[in-house]
Amino acid sequence: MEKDALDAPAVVTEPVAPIGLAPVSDFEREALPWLEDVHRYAFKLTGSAADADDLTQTTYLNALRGWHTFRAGSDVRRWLFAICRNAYFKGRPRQVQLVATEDTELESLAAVSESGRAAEALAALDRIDLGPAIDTEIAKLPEAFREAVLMVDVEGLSYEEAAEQSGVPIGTVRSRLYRGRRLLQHALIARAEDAGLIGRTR
Amino acid sequence: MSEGKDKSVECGEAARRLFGYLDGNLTADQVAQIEKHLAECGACAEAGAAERKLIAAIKATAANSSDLVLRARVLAAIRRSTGTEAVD
Repeated sequence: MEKDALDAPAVVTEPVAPIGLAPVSDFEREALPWLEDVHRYAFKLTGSAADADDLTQTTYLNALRGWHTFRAGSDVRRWLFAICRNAYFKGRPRQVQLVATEDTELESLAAVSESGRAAEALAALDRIDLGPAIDTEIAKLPEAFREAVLMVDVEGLSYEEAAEQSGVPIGTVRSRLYRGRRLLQHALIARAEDAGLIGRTR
Repeated sequence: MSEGKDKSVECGEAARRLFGYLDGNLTADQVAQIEKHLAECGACAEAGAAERKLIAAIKATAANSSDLVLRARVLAAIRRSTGTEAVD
């Protein structure tokens, strides 16, 4: 079948992979199982199913082209997420730095925003259909906050890795993550309130 | 301990370090401090529970959903691309 054709030496233009690199013929087997995860990640970036479809396809084609650089044994899913994120942000004008990075600012933010919303947040998280709500609300976050939340919470990067990949200091990642999660929490509370699932308090 | 002025200072520190704690980015000493505070302060414990739940919910959305049409489309694109490369 087609897979056999892919595996045939006459069809696959696979370079001889250096030791430690995955051969191209493994691409479908390794990468395709993560298609749905990548699509969902793409939806969080784009906020549109059609755009997420396009971005997912672009991600896989870019990944195929870069497959010879993939290190065998690495986390394929995380690698695909990073390619997806890079494909989305490539060519897009980066938003101006929106946030300061000082811990003192975080502390004041925390003091203001935490007051009294934890109980509402817990109730909202219990009562709404979280999956679709989170996908949609992440897509609505300001770009810099969205990127931080996706990198740390969805991709599982450390603060250091996220800082390196986005080219900002760790403090900026921390601040963006804080604000992104806070906005997300408030959006989920608002959803639950709008749906009449929890009482409106503000 | 966690009362009056002292408590507000501790709560501020706890709020500032909460995400670092939940994300595993604190030192052992800092972890011990914040855990002590969360055990003593109901408001901060509730805030911590809300944050922990939100983060878990976000992480849970990293997976699943199914779209066979998309799978077919991407697979076709991959194979077209591979085929094109083979001709080149």
